Amino acid sequence: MPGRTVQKFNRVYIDGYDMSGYSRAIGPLSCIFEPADLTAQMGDAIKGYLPGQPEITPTLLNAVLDNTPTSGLHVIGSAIVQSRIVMVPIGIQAAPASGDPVFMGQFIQLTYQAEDVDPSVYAQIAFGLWDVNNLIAYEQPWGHLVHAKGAETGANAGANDVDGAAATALGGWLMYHVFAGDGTATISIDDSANDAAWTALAGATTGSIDCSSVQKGIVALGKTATVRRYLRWQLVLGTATTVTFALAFVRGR
Amino acid sequence: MTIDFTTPADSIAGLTIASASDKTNIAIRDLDKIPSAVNSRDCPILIPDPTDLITDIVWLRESQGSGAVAMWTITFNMHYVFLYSPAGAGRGIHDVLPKMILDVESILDAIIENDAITGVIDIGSAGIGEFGVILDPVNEEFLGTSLTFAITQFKN
Repeated sequence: MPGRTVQKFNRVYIDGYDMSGYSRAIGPLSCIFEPADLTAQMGDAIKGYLPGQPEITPTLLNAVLDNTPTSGLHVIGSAIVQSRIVMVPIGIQAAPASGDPVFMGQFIQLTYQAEDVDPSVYAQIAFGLWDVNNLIAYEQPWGHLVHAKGAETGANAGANDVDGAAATALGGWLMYHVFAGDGTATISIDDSANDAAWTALAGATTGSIDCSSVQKGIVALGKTATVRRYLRWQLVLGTATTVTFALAFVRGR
Repeated sequence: MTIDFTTPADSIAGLTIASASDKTNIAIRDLDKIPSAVNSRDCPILIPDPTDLITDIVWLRESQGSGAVAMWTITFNMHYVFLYSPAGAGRGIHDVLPKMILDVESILDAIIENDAITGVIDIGSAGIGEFGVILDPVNEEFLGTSLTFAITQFKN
């Protein structure tokens, strides 16, 4: 759906856990190319600068402190200095659906702070930049949702989930969060030139993963990989009979 | 999307809300099905308030441009009347009040938890009136309360 939206339709997934119900606000969702500072004064500290490299971060997650075992924000978020795989689908006037914009990446969690704000206790998680130990060859954090969080019990024989307007030969990368399941499965992306004949997008697969526990990950394609116009999610069940997951893709550009 | 008073009322009327009374569900009426007079067999019933349906409209301009092009966020309150039973029904107020309160809870839960009410961007509770004697459209006395729903819509 085209148009604007309100924040209640945002979702926040961190490391395979749905933090949406705890989240109050997240952002700014930033991708900033800093200009080089060519006017340094004598005596200024030396500043390193990588040209053409953006600073990408979801900045700050404001949330409600909740210590629900295993999946509550406090249990997940209180371990700081962790590398977090973060996906923020943005639903447009409805819950997130295929094709909706997504901000995503792997970031270092810098802080976890609890604060009394009458009458509730809130928590803040500050994120740093992309985790330098898990860099990928892409500098775009904005993509599209290929599969909104939901359960699937078999392969996809449907039409496209994302229409990229045209094929590209600039690669791309995907992120997945598996929230629940009962065995092994493989999540992947198919592409098509005509939204009718589908083949697996080479490299765009999780491989077999054990969905009976929470899973998350990023898979990057080669920088010159061809990605045809239409994309859809695909699922191959191993021992699992059901998998609940979210999947998004950033097309290289 | 544009300002729309009828679709939210139509969507609210389409909800299915269980009742704590002897009836299975709370009857919910749309704008074109407000009864002229309410009978005991109609209860419990939730109807748009015909005397005070829409109040507190606020138009917030979100962007530049002409009125037809600019983005507006519109908020307003829709008022409903909940009639649980005719006044004096049952063995006394102690017999009626607990179930009436449960029905009001169910209505509010259904409104808050429903993400798919069409014609609105968001809907919430903007208040509950006093529990007690409330009048139907022909001024017959019922036990019930008034409910106000806060509606948010987009224009453009």
